[in-house]
Amino acid sequence: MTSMASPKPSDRPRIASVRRWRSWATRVGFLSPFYIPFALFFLLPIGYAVVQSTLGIHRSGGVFGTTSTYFEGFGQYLQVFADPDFQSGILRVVLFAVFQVPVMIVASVAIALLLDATAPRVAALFRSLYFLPYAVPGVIAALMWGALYVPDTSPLWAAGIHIDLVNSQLVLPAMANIGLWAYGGYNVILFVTALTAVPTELYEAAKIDGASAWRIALSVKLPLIRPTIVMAVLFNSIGTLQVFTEPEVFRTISRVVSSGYTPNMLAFNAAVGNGYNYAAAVSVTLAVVTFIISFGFLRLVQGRGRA
Amino acid sequence: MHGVPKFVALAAAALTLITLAGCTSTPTPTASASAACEPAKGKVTLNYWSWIPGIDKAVDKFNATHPKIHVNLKTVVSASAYQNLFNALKAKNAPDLAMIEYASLPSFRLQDGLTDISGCKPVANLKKEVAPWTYNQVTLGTKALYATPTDVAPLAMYYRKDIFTKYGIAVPTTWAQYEEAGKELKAKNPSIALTSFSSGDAGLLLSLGWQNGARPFGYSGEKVVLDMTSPAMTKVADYWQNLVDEKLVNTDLQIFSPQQYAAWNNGTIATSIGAVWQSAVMESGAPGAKGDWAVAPLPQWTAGGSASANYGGATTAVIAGTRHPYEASVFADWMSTSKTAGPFIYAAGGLLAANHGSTDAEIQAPQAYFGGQQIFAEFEKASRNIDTGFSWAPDQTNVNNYLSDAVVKSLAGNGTLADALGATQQKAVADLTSQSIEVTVKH
Repeated sequence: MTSMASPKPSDRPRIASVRRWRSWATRVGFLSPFYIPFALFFLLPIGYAVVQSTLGIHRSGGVFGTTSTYFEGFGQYLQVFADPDFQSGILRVVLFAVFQVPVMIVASVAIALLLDATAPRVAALFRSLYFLPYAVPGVIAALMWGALYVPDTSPLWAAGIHIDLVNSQLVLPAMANIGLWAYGGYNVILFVTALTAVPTELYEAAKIDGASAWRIALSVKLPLIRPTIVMAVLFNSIGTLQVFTEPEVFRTISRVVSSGYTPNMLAFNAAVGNGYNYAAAVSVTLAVVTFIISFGFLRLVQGRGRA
Repeated sequence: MHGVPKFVALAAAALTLITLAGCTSTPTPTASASAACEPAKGKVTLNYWSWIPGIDKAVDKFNATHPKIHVNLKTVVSASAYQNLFNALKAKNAPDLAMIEYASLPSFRLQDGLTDISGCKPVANLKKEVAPWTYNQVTLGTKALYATPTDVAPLAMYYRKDIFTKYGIAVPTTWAQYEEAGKELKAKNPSIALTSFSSGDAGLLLSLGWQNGARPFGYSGEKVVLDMTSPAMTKVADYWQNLVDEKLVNTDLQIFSPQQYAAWNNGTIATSIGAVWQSAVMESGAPGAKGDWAVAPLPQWTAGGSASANYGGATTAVIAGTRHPYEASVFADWMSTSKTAGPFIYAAGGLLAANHGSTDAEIQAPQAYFGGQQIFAEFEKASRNIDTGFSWAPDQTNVNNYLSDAVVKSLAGNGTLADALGATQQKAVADLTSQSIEVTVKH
């Protein structure tokens, strides 16, 4: 068997650099299926939006003259902050999140705990039932619930319960209800899965100590799924801050919902009117606000956890 | 994993630079001049976008009779048609022709989306062949021609004959009588509203202003002239505010919503101010009320008048970037003035913009849904007395949004509809200024 002659001292740096390059190339090769689409479909659109938000239109030759776009700086953002529609929209979605997220989480956790304490087959059936609404596309769900709310087609009104859920300020809770129905099941599955990871010896130990099922749920299960709860709060908050589908559909049946009811709608309707630069500024601002709120929440929660 | 975060940072930086470089664009030329409008040699294929149901049969007829031109129809969804067209223009793969409503033409011109076909022989006689006010709508007050008027949508008053007969109320002919009829009806049966007033239907308020001679949007030289708070416009707003205050109208019914159809069906509203195309919507949306509805002329501000206005209606527009403006103008002219295209437009509930339409047999055909009334003849009469000097704004989509948002506020009790007009005008000024357009406000 021939053995490779050991490399001469003068060859070592060259071989080492080749090896380093090869190892770098291998790493990039394995990771590029992630990073290339990430760059193209995540970084690039964000970069494009940021750039768009700094551009303005210059026109020469009158109303229908020649146009050119030029770099305007971040002045557009001042306009966004001064826009009363944006201000009321942000306030609205923050309040919406403050009310809807706790209700969603408490309800989903409660259902998950109940399912966890039920016989597996029964639990599996109910899990699927709760998850079904998630399969309904957002627009369809909003249209269906709209029909259930509107006086002329609502079974509630037919039964004599005359609450106007569409043309009054109750339209916000009405839309929150749709979100609960659609995403509750998704959160339930999240928590049920987290609960299956809890070692059952802990339950036995608690039972030996005399804990009731109620006590086990509150003092053993809940704390152990805390990370999942935190994650669910985060995702739900981000979702509610960016709510779009339900209010945009409700615009067609309600006289209370304006075109800038939520910041996401404001950006969308600005873009539909060919105001892409303003829409970009609103979108970026909304993203930053969402980021600050969710990051702030994480910091707050993780700070306390480190006891 | 040393090299990878650096890779990400480099990629992000590179992509941002590329985006920035691509974003600052060179000045775009205005709608292509009419200079080169010559027929092509050989067969030409054109792309046409439209949402009118059944228009494919019209296109087939055109293709059969024009061997050198082949039109490919793409049926688009009306709700997203303009958005898709704007996107296609940006992506530089727009069709040669598209159906664009009168109210949206200025927006397309603003985005340099139209081709001037005034120098094309097939449309040389267009002015004489279509209703005068429609010609102004497609030339946008200039010497250029951007589209051909296809159909018109005059306003009239749909009313429930059975309700008026039952309560012995005379069918109103003036707006003053309309209010009186509403009060009488409320006294006799408070559960029936005179009509609906929807915040999502901002365009209707503007068209009603049109009937009163208002010209809220105009062009003067290089500027846009806004006049949304003119006395004529304010009079209309105050009138409807009064109807709302007296609770004679139902403000909960949004246009095209299930509750609107239910109200048309159940007889919970006695009249409906609408354009000719609403007849098709009512037929399909409120089949239970067949035979109960009739059409009367729009109530007038002065007794004996016959003024109406247009609300809707579309054109066949020639889109910027078309390589065959001559053939496109042939098709556009055909859609507008040919007798072959006519029946298909009637079938979709429209009225022809062409002058010959006034003598078509379809106008005289009794409509079963309306108890045998010749409603198209009624609308045709309405189309004869429409102010020719009305224009739409170059950012009409935004203006309509601002107006409906402002009406939302008024209906919630914050201000009157006249205030809504003022608020809309302010926002419109800001919007146009942000697009570097000079605006003057008349009132």
